[in-house]
Amino acid sequence: MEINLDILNNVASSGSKKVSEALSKLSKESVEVSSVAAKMASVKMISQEISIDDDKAVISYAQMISGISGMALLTIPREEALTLVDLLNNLEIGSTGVFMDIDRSAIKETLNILSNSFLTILAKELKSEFMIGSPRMVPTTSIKELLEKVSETEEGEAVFFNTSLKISKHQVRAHLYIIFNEKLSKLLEEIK
Amino acid sequence: MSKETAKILMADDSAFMRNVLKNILENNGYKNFIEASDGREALEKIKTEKPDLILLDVIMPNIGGIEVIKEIGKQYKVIIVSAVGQEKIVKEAEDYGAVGYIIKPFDNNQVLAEVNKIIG
Repeated sequence: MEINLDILNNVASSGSKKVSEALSKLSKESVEVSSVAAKMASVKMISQEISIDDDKAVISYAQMISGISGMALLTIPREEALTLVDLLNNLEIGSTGVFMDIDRSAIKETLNILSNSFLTILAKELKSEFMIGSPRMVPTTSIKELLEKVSETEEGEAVFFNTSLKISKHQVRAHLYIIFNEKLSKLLEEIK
Repeated sequence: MSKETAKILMADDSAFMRNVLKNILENNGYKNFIEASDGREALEKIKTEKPDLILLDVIMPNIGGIEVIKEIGKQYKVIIVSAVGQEKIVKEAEDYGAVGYIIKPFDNNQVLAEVNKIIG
C-alpha cells in the first residue's frame, strides 16, 4: 500500500520532540532524541527491529482504545530503567536496585505520558482522536503476537514510528514505538 | 475547610502518579489523603469517606473517570487528571461537573493552583 511519507515523517519529527519534552519534564533532565523513524513495514520486520533480550530490558505496552487499531511500546535496558526510576522519584542514582511494583508503575506511567504526547501530534494532523488504554508490562515473547493483532494478519503491514531517546547525563536510553494498523495510511492519504 | 483537614481522594491506577501527587500536596501543607486504584474503588471510597476533593484520572481499569463523574454528578468537587492530548475527555468531564483539570506530566504550580482553588 502507498503511504504519504512526508506526513508520516513530519508526524514522527514533531511527535518525537513532544515526547522528549515530556520525558525531560518527568525526569527533570535534558533529553535528546537520538533517532526518529517512520515507515510502513511488515509485522515480521517490525518485530525484528524491536527484538530485545528479555533479561536485558523492561517493556511496557499499551493498546490503542479509540481510533485505529494500534499499540505503544516503551523499551528500556534494565539497568538504565532502574536509573530512570531514580530520576522519576527524585532519588539519588543507584537507590533503586530491584524493581518493585511502584517502580513498574513509574515505567508504565512513563509510557502513558510519552505515547499520549506523540499521539497529540498525530491527532492534530489527522483531525482525529487517539486514546491509549492502561499500560502493562509484557515479556519480549508476546510482542510478535501483539503486533499481529494490530495488523490483523502475520503477513500484514503496519505503520511504525520509532523514537529513540537518551538522557546523556545518566546514560539512560529508551525506545518508544507507536504502531498502527495500515488503515492509518488511508487517513494520511486523505489529507495529502 | 483547611489544608490540614481537607480529605482528598486520589483515584489513579498508577501508584506512581498517586505518590507524585501526594508528595506535591504534602509538601504544601495537605495531610489527609485517601487512595483508589480504579473507578470502582473510587466510587466505594466516595460513598464511605465523603471526600472534600477528588483528583480523578480519566483512563482507569474497570470503571473509567468519566463513568465515575457521571455516577456522582455535581455532589462532589472533582478535578480531572489526564495526559496531554485528552482534551476531549476533559471537556466531557467538565460538562458532567468537573471543576478543573491537571495535565500529566505534572507542573507543581498547576496542581497547587487547581487544588488551592477548592481548598485554600
